[in-house]
Amino acid sequence: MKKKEIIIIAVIAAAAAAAILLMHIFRSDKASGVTVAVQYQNRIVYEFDPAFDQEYELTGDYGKMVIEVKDMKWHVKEVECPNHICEHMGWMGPDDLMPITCLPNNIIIYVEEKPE
Amino acid sequence: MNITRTRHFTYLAMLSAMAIALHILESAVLPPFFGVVRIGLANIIALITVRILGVREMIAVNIMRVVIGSLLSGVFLGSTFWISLGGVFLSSLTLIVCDRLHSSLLFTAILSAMAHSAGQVLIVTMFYMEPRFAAILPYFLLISVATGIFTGFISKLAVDRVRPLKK
Repeated sequence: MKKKEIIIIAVIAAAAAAAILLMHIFRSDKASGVTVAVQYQNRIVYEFDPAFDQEYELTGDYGKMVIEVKDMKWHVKEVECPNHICEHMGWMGPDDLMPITCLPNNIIIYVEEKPE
Repeated sequence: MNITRTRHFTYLAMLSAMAIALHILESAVLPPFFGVVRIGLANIIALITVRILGVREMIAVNIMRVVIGSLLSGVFLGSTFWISLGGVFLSSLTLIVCDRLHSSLLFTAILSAMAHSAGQVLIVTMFYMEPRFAAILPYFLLISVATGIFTGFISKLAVDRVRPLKK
């Protein structure tokens, strides 16, 4: 094998090793072990880890609901319903026991799993 | 002239048969390491073919290996067929480029093993429309260095003993 070829292989292998290392660091920093469930009627529509910022959209009995997840907390950002109670409940975190509830839409958002 | 052509075809037929046999044997007999990693024994034949017969013959051997191999094992046009086709496509492409650049056999083997796994990961990622599957690629690339050294070493043993028919 020529010297140039050895260098090419070494560079690819090093890049792959670096990628693996980065993924491990990223993963251990990120995943929190907390699982939040979004339940509509009697089935779970979404399950998410609040460590990952994202928005979830679903349709309940009354209309649309948008859930925003940010910095280990989540809240109802927008909802189509007559009283907007769930929206006013504000941000919830893994330590909050009370689920966000929207009765007109038949949707509840609660902590399903939490590391001890 | 005629003898050369006959020899050429005989070699091509034998190499294709060996590639198909190794392709089936590996998936049937050898369990994959960690559930997903295979050595890529059939790659040895592709490497030998490109060295002693040429690029066009290597493509023929590789296509026959995937098509006939999957027909015989009953996975033709199934997901595993497309996954191996993706791997073989990229590894054949790498073999062509390395042949043009007159790279060493070991380097060609390692690079084609890497390309093979990259092709497979690409197909799986597209198949499920899930980019997170690509996270396995770095692991595959690292393992490909080892499997590539192995296949390259075996093919070198063979290539050193067979007179090339390549013009």
